[in-house]
Amino acid sequence: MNNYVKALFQAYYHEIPLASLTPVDLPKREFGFIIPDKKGMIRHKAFVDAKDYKAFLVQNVPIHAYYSATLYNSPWKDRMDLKDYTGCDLIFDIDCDHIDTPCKQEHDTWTCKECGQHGTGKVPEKCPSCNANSFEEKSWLCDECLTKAKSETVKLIDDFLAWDFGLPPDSTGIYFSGQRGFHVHLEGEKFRTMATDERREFADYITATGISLPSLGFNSKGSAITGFTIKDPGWRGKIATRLLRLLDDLGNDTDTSALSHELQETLKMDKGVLEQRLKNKDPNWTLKKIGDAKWNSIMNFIIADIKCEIDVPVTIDIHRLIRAPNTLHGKTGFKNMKLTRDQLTTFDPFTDAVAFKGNEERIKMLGDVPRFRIEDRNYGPYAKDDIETMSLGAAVFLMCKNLGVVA
Amino acid sequence: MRSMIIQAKTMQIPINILCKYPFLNASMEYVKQKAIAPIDALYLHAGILDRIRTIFADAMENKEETKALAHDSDDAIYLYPWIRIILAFMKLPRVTNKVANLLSKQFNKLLVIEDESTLVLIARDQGITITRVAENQAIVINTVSFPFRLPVLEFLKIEAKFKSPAWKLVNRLLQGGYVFLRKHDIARMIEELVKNKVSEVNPALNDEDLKNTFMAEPPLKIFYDGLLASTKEKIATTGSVDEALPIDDSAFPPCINAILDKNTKGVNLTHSERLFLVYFLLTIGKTVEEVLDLFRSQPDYNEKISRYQVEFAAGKHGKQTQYKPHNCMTLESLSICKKADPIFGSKRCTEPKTPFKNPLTFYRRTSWVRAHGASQSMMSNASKSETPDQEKTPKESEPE
Repeated sequence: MNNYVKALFQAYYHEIPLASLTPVDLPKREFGFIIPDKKGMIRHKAFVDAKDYKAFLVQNVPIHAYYSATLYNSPWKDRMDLKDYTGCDLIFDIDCDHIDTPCKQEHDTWTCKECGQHGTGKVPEKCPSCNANSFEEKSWLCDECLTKAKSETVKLIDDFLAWDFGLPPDSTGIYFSGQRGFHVHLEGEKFRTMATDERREFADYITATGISLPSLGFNSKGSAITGFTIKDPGWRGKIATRLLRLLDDLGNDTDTSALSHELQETLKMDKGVLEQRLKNKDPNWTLKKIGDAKWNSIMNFIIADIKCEIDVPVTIDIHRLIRAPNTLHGKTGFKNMKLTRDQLTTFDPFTDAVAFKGNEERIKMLGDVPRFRIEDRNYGPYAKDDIETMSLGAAVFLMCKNLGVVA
Repeated sequence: MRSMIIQAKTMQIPINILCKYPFLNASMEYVKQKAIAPIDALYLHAGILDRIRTIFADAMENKEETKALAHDSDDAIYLYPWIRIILAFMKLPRVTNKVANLLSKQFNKLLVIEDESTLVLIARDQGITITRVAENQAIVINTVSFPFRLPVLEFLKIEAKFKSPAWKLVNRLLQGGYVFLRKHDIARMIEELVKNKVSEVNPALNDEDLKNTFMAEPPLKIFYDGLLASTKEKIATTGSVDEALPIDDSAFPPCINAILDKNTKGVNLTHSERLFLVYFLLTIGKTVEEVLDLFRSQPDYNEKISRYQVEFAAGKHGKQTQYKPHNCMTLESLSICKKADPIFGSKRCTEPKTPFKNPLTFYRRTSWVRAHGASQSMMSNASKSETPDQEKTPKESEPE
């Protein structure tokens, strides 16, 4: 972090109202910070008072600030077994990194640390050239990535937490992480007492892990298929409802390319009959041209579409540090910010989370910069040493990524 | 006695139900109200000792039903705590598990034919706050009725202990924060709670004073010594699958083999993979040094940190907890399960009749079969040495 950005971060922490910075149950949480010029993460910090926490941020200006989802009686102890665990919020993390989007081919790159082989998109498990498994990764952010992460978050809140788990959206804490995704926090006592096994089951429901069609009641006897109805609770109803929408999609321009052409054509032939049965809440899914194997393929497509791409280990882990509310993200200069469900609908991270607005700066590029947008202006792509005058938010964004300096 | 009603907190449960289900908290309340000293109860309810003897014998024969739990009098209410006290005296985990299994299965058989309002009373006594769904909201799936509902987080507290796919939340009927359940789901949940309760070591029952008082009574001591002897004899004759076997690396489950393969190739293991590998290897008897040897091939190996972490897992630091490896469902969530992997996968992981719930079971069963199969095979080869064409090829004698 250069001094220019450091001064801006410091001013931000100086100005921010104490209340918006303070997490619930602050004294019971462990804090961790990445601070410029200090090696590794500074962990096991705790604050009895929000003013002390704010003073620490102003004085040390961390690049990243984290707090524990876990509550402890002694959060400052440097060994986990001495901290005295009392409970842990239930956290869901939706991150672009875990979602396959076509745009990654355009803006994410990797370079093999062994042989220098270079590629775009998702990092391979092994280098195709030398089989090594150590890479330098460069990922980028774009509207497409964050729009997909946002739609997954909406799915999590509306289709799973509200509809299935009965948790009204205003009872969930929704946060933009400040860079590549969203966090959803459930903070009530009933969530804090959940054991790891229970958290895993909760996450498995959302990710459809361990889903079993026979256990759900999908049944085939000879050529007769018994499926689900749209009024059924749980995954039964979700699958039936999505199937009805799939039939509708087959007749319009919606992209259904993930389903094989052959299956699409077969479904189209019986579309009318099946649509009618689904609308009549009739679980009879027997169709002449679709046997067990084809139904399995259709079900796999539907389940993959319904499930939500949460990062499961985050939900299961009861000792996880997560980004602290309303702190700044050192890789973007964006704010981590709390949102209501309504705000999420219209939330534009490239505008609403930009912490620094106002003056323009002339920025010299330190490397190749892909296209990006800050507020309503598009920038780039730029080559190394290009100079551009840009908004303060865009300038900070590039400086945080070590791709620009004030010219 | 039949008209008596016990009020436990806000619930009123008739005495016949307390006798029928002596594990109820309300039944314990009844015993407390009677204020009879535990030893005196054995003399006042003379049939209890005979019943205990029968129950232990039935349990050791792996029965799932016993006539000794008959609930024709309030003997049954005193019988249940005494079974648990005797188990606490014995401190034999295998016997405790067998008795827990017998009792819980027996109660299940009664519960599934119980009327719905009584079932609600029993469940609520056990802390399962089920409610009967209003007639117009009842869920019926393919003519099967789901008349009860339970808040999802309460369901998870019980369900997380079940290992069958049918009990996973993802395969259940969930809506609006409630899981919809059938009558025999409730019976099964209560069965599991009873099983856990009987299996757990309850410090209140492990009372040295009570044991001394009990043993000081000659008839009771004779009864106990006889019961202990016959139970131990039964253990000896049924043999054990837990006997110590040498560590057999070739019996590892697919998930462990896949991690070891990555490790051999110097591929960085994820945090979850490392933890699981350490817990697994320590549990099957590898030493801290043997485990550390494996990690020395890791690109980011740090002797000091790794040693502390492996020793921690072995219970040498912190709370001295010896951690067990994750079960198969957790491994599936963590993407560590390799049951269907084209290279490491094994059809034995997915055999429908005997699915493994924990990779340890895979390992123990495989190594046991190998050890015993090998010795049997040697014997059979010796006896058939004159007919070599009937011998199995080495490949065929592999467990896979």
